[in-house]
Order: sequence, then C-alpha cells, then structure tokens
Amino acid sequence: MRIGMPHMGNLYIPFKALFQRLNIDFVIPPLNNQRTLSLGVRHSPEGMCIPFKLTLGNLIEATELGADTLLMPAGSGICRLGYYAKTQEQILHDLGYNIAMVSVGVSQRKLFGLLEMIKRLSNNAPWSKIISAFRFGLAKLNAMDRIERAVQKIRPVERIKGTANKLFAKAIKAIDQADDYNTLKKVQINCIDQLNQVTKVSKAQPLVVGIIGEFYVLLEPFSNLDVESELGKLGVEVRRTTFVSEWTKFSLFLNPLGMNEKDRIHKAALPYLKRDIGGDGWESVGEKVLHATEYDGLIHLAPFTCMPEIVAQNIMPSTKENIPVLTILCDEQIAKPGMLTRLEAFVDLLEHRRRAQSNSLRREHGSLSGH
Amino acid sequence: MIKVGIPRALLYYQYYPMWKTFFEELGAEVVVSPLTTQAILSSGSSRVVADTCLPVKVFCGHVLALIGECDYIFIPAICSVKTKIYNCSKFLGLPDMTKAVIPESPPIFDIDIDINKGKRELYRAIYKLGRRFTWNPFKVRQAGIAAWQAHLKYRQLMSIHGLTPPQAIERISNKSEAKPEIPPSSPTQTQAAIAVVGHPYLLYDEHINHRLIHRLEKAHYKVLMPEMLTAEELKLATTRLVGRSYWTYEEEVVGAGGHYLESGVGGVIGIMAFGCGPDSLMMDMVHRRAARLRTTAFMSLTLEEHTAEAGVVTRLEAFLDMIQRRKRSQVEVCV
Amino acid sequence: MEAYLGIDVGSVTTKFAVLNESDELVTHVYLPTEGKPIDMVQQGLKQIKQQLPKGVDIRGVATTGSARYLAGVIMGADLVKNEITSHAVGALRYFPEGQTIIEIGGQDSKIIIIRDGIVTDFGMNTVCAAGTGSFLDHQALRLNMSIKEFSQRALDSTTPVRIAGRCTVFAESDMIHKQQMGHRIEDILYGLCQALVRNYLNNVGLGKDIQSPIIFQGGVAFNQGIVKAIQEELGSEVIVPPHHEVMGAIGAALLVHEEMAHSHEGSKFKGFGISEIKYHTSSFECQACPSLCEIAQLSLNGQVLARWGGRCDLWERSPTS
Repeated sequence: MRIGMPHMGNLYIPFKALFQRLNIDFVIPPLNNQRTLSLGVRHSPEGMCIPFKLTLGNLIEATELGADTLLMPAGSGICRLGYYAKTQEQILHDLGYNIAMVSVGVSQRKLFGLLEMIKRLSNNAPWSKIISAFRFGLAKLNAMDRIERAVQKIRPVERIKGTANKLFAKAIKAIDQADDYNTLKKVQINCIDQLNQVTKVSKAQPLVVGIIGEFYVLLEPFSNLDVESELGKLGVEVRRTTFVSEWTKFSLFLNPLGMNEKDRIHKAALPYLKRDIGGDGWESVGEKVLHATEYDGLIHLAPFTCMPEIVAQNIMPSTKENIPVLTILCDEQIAKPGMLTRLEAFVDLLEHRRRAQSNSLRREHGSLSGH
Repeated sequence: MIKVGIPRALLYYQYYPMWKTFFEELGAEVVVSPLTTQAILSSGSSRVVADTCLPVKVFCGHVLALIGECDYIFIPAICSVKTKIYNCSKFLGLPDMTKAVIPESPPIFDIDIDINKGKRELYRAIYKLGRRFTWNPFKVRQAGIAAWQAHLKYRQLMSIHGLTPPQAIERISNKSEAKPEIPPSSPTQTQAAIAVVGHPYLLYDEHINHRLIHRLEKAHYKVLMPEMLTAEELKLATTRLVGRSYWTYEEEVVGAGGHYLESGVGGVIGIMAFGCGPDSLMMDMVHRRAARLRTTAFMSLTLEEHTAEAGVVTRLEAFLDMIQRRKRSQVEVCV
Repeated sequence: MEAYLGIDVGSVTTKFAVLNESDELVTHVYLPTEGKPIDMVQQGLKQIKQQLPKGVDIRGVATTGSARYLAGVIMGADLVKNEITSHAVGALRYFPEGQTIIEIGGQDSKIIIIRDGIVTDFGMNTVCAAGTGSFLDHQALRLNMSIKEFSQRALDSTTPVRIAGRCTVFAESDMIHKQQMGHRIEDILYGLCQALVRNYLNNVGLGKDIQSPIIFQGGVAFNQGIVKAIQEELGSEVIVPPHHEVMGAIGAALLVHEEMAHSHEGSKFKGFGISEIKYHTSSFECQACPSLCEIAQLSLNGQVLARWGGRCDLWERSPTS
C-alpha cells in the first residue's frame, strides 16, 4: 500500500513528517504546476471548480508515481467537496488506474476522523506513537504558519521585492528537512530574525487588505496566481484569518469544549445570512461585515462555479457595512496579466479612498474647530 | 385576508400542494406567479451575479413577478429532508439571497427544514410559521396534518397514476373528483420510450426547456420521467450507481438515470442546468454509467439562459436519429 | 442522369453538393452566408445549375444546417435533416472505418463518436464560441492576416506561446499581452491553434471516447495549424477527407437518396427557377400570451409560406406543406 494525497499549499510537509514517523509508505506528487492543471481540466466534468481539477491532477500524478491508496477529504453537508472522492474515484477507474480511494471525514468529526484513518493506515500503530508523530507534524505546520504571518508583514515594506519570499522558501525547505523539535525551533527563530532585518522602505502606513473566501483557493497560491505576493509587490499588507494551524488548533482542542473559531464571524453574518450554506459562504459574508471597519479593502477569492461563494457574492453587496471588495474567480482560464490589471486598479481605488477619507476627516475636524 | 405568494420555480414542483393547503387551512389566500416567460427570466437574471445557476435566476424572476400581488412571499430554506443528506448552497441560502438581491420584495416567510435537528425542531419551525396566522397551536397542527395529506395525495397522483407535476397540481386544484382516470397517453405511439431525467423545475418548465417533452411526444415517443418511478426503485438505482445519496434531490437524477439506463429504454436524456453544481457531478455519474453499459443511448442537455431553441431542436433530432439508425442497423444485422 | 442535391445552410457558410445515382460527387458550391440565407440559397442554386451537365434530373433534395427549415421551404425539400446526422453520414461514405468525427465550423463545432458505422454519442459546443472557427477568424482579423497566411505561418512556429482564456475576448487580451512581450508572431499563431484545440477538447470533446481513425472536417480543417495541433494534442493521426468543407451537404444528399429509394412519391423540389423568385421575410411579436414570442415569416406574393420562432404551436406550420 502506497499512499498518495492532493496538495494544498505546503500541507504536504507536516503529512510527510507524520507518515515518515509512522513508517507509512507514501508518495508526494509534484507541486501544482501547469501539467497538474491540464490533467485535471481534461478529465473533470464540465463546470467543476479549480479545487476539484487541481486535486484530480494531483491524484493522477500520485498514481503515476505508484500510489495505490488515495486520500481525499469528504463528508456530508459541505458543498460539492463531499462528492469529490466518489467522482474522482470513478474518473481514475475509467482512466484504467487500479486505486482505492479513502475518504477522510473532516467535516463533522474534523481531525478525529483523520486520526482514526491514520491509525488504520499505520497498520494499527499504538496511539502513543501516532500522537507523537502527529504532534511533530503539527509543530511543523505551526512553524510554517508563524513564518508566513511574518512574511505577510514584510512583503509590502521590503526594499528589494521578493526578499521575504526567498527567505520563506528557504525556511519551508529547512522545516521540511528538520528532524527534531530543536532544529525546527531554530529554523523558525532564524527566519523570523532575518525577516525582521530585511531593509524596508520608509512608507508611513501600507494599505491593509483582507483576503477572504474559499479555504482551498486561499491556501493554494497556485490556484490564486499568488495573489498575496502580488499585493505585496504593490506595497499592500495582507491579512487573512484562514490558516490550517488555526483550524487544527480549534478542531483538536477548542471545538470539543464548545468553542468555535468562527462564532464571531457567523454572528456578524447573521443579519444577512442566517445559516451555514456549506463551504465557506457564511464565513465570506461574516468576514466582510466584521472587517468592514478594520481594513482598507477586501479581496474575495472564490473558485469559479463555487456554489456557496456565488450565494455569498450575491449577498455581500447588500450589507450595511461597506468596504470595497474585489472578487477574483479562480479558474484555469484566468490569465495573470488580467488579474494584475484588476489588482492595480483596486489598489489605486483604495489609495484614493483613503486619501479622500483623511481629507474629509481633516475637513470635518477643521469645521469642528471652527465652531 | 393575508395573501401569500409562492414563486412557480424550484421546489414549487415538489411541494406546492402541501404549502398551498397549509396556508389555506390557516385562512390565507395563496397566489402563484405565472408561467415562466422570457421577461421573467431576464428580470431575475438581471438581479444576480452572472455565474448564478439558471434555476435561481428563474426563481428570482418569479419573486419579482409576485411583487404587488401578495403581502408575503414564502421561501423555505430546505436544508435536509433525510438524515445526513443535504441540499445545495443555493437552497440553503435562498431566503437570505432573495432578500439581498430583491430588497423591494414583500416580507419573506422563511422556515428552516432540517431533519437532522430532529423532528421536534421541525415541528417547532412549522408552529413558528403557523403562528404568523393564528395564535391557536391546534389550528396550526391541523393545517400541518392537512398539508401533509395533500402532499401524500400529490405524490400518489404522480407515482401511481403517472401524472406529471403540473397535471397533478391541476387535478388537485380543480377539486373535481369526477374523473379519476388519466387520459391514456396518445395511442399513436409507434416509437420507443425515451426517458427524460432531471429536476422537476427543469423538466416541467416549458420555457426553459423549450418544450422538450412536448417535442418528444409530438414525434410519437413515449416519455418516461423520474416521477413515474417508485421511491424504492429510485433508491435502489441510486445505491447501485453511487452508494449513499449525498444530495437531497439526487435520486431524480442519478436514481432515475441509472434505473432507465438499466431497464432498456430506447434512450435517456439527462437535463441539467448551466451553473448547477450538483448537476454537473451527478450527470457525470449517469454519463459514466451509460458509457460503461453501452446498451442505451444517452445524451445530456444543458439548459442555459441563452440556449437557443435551435440548439435544443438540433440535438434532439440528432439524438433521435442516432437511436433510429442504431435500431435499423441492428435489425439489418439480425436479418 | 439522376442526381440528388444536398444543401447545408450554416450560420457562416452555405454549401451545396450534387451526387449522382452511385453517390459520386458531381459538383459542389461553397459560399459565405453573410447573414442572407435566402439570397445565398438562390445564388448557389444558380451556380449549381450552371455547373451541372445538361439533362440532369434532380430526384431528391435535402437541407441541413442551422437554416435547414427555411431552406427546406424555399427548395421544396424532400428531407430536412439536422447537421450532426448529415455530417456523420457524409464522413462515413468516404471513411466507413472512422470512429471519431471532429467538425469545427464557423460558429459551432461538433464531435461525433462512431462505432461499427453507427453514431453512438455526439456533442456540440454549448454556450460559447470558444472552440469554433470564429475564434480564429477574429484573431486573424485582428492581426490583419488572411486565414491562409495564418495557416501557413502557424506551421513555422518553433516555441508556441501558451494563450490562456476560453472566451474569445479573454484570449484576445492574453494574445495582445503576449504580442507586447515580443513573442514571435508564428509562435503566437500556433499558440492560438493550440488554444482552440484545447478549448474544443475541453468543451465539446469533454468526456467523449475519442478513438482513431479520427476524421477532421468543416471549414477550419483547411487550417494546417489546427490539423497539426489536434494531432499533437491527441497523439494520433487525423484524416482530412476530400471535400470536407461540403461534407454536411454530401451527407444530406446521401440521406435523401436513401429516403427516396424507399419512397413511392416523386421529389417535391420546386426546380431551379426558384432562384429568380422574390421571397419576402418579415417578423412580428405574438401577443397571444405573456411570452411575446418573435415570429418570423416567409412569404411569396403576399402568401405566407412558413412561420417560425413561437414557443407554442400557434404559428407553426409544417415547412414543407
């Protein structure tokens, strides 16, 4: 049995650590690339979203590398994702691949479904061993996310564009190679130190843009044409609430205690959308309401044809809380120059808006003091 | 008297007699929007983002058509009618989305139907809705029971008597118990049977499907629909094809498609809506089964806002030619 | 000589083919439709008459293509057939062993899957013109280049450029971008060919079981760049049959021959004289119901021959009666 699974950002690194420590045989398909996408597009039904196409491409490429047991998230009540494993299994069978599909129920049971599956895959390894391996994987995940947050801060202010990304890539590689907690810690501290020493431009206050939308396209830069780096190049600071480590933390420790990381977001959405509609549609509406006063603008990333995000897109303009939103539909048809044009125009708009606001504030202030 | 408007779209075809009975029992008048027209479709589609699916565009058009005709509009949020089988996002967000895109709409009566929360929660939701009309919980209870009975009768008219939803609705509304026999389908049928599978709001909205069923009947084909199968047949065929259902309205596509493909009809036409997420996956499953079986001709037809009638006609003609030429060649081979 | 006439009136071009008793092509005509289907049918008919030897007896007429009903009324057609069936029948006449037919026309494109000489599956472009010839026409026009030149220069490409975008407009903006970046024109041209083929296969060809031998026909099959791109993408040889551009008309003629062989009546063909008649077309909005259908009508000397466009049977008349 050789395991293969689709990519989402750098998530393969913690999984690799986990599988290695449990002696599970696995392959890592090539990171998302043009071929992955082409394969996925060619074999997907019409109207499927980019997460489906890319993960299908990953699974085909994993199979080519000898994987015979494929992992896909599944579950009920969560947009089309719950149907993906079923469909992709059929597609792979029709292509002549003899594989077994293992659905990982992450929707209701969240991480516990994953842990049970790992137990099975590891030939019933003792729980202590699984938990220790899992902890190490988690440590890598946390380190990556911490560094990414720091990178998000540096990108807009670095003097030489691309420096933070280079340090980030180096750190990811080092984290991947780290074998123990000590090394991991050292890598993290080193990288954050180096990031802090990057020469910065003296810009008063960069624009702050929140990135909201669908989980996969938020976390897979290949699918969103690396929108965060592009915004960084334009001198915009990016904030995003969605991180896998965050999800894991809540899923493992806080959800069982009845706490939900999204309660605040859902509450904000209530006046406009009363219920979960699957996927991240509820969150998109809630985050718009929540961040309307915090950020200069929002970029809403949604896969083209994504059902929950279409509902969100229809509802978002009607909220009282007003903030400029640029929706980017992620799809294999989107061309980078087109996206860059829209990003630049959006950033211009935000700058004008900020200037106008500060002017009117000054005017208001002036008229007040005049009285 | 309170006038409650019901858009003639989406789940209207599944539940109208039930809803109508419920509101009428509570003393309200029920108003239904007219049949879909190009004007209704265009007005609805102008309100939502372009990628919204066709049925929701049609739905919004029907809501717009009800403005000024009623005091309230009834838009339920049907999350789940079977345990752990959910509906698509568009159905879940329907009341909120309608409110957002049609702010001038009359106030919306919504109700959460989610069987996963338990029967008690369901009854509470029904009472909550009923209390808008009466303070008397017994009256609500009575209306609920009458509504359920109307629904059962409606289903029966379709599954046992072979009526289509519009025919069954008409039968119920006419209240004329005089002739329980349905007119036998035209005797000139010389051709094979063609099954048409898909959601009722696509199959029975003649505007968006360009009178597909009418065209088949005119060409003397016997037309079979998902509603003519029993719940058991639908469920079994679904299980054979995909295992457990995932979507609330999966059986009318996957179950009906699978059943008719296996039962040796002349051909199966799958009707799906452009932009419909579940359809794209479910129809793919039916298509794959057809490709593997290779016994029954299958065609999927995607309906879209701008689908030209000519496109539907050409495909239909080519499909029927394909079936006939195939049959003829088989006969020749046998000879 | 007994002969059968097939007419394919498409949205972009109008094609005529005359077959003799042994189904051999006697003559054919290929005209741009230019949005005037009636004029083109009349003009084509005139040309056909000039090209035909004396003493030819037209024993059957069939029309196909998107304006098949209109053309059917004008001609007095014995058979009105959809273009998918016509194309399949035409192609199989020349290559009975064909398993896949790729047909890329001006505004629509098709794929027809054939097993043992019988159509088993087909597909047509759904909502947009991405996988059709108009995509190339549009770009050729933009580059101020004839389709012939386009075809030749595309073959000189060494490192084709990847053009993103399914829709013509997006592809155009990406193409402009690639031009501005200084890519060779040949590489852009071949990149466009690849984009069209990719779009065709991902749209029309999606989920179809494409097997060799593959027959490629329709006007776009003149473009060698596209032929090469299909072969590369499918990794298989592609056959472009002779007279591929009039294959729909040939298929229609074959079908009417078959039809007339079983019929006891003579042809309803109104004769070559109809190319001189002045037909009148008009339209009105039906007020019978809220649908407000646009009804088009064809009339001759004040007498209505046919009406189309209604969503109900109210105005429908059998086109041949």
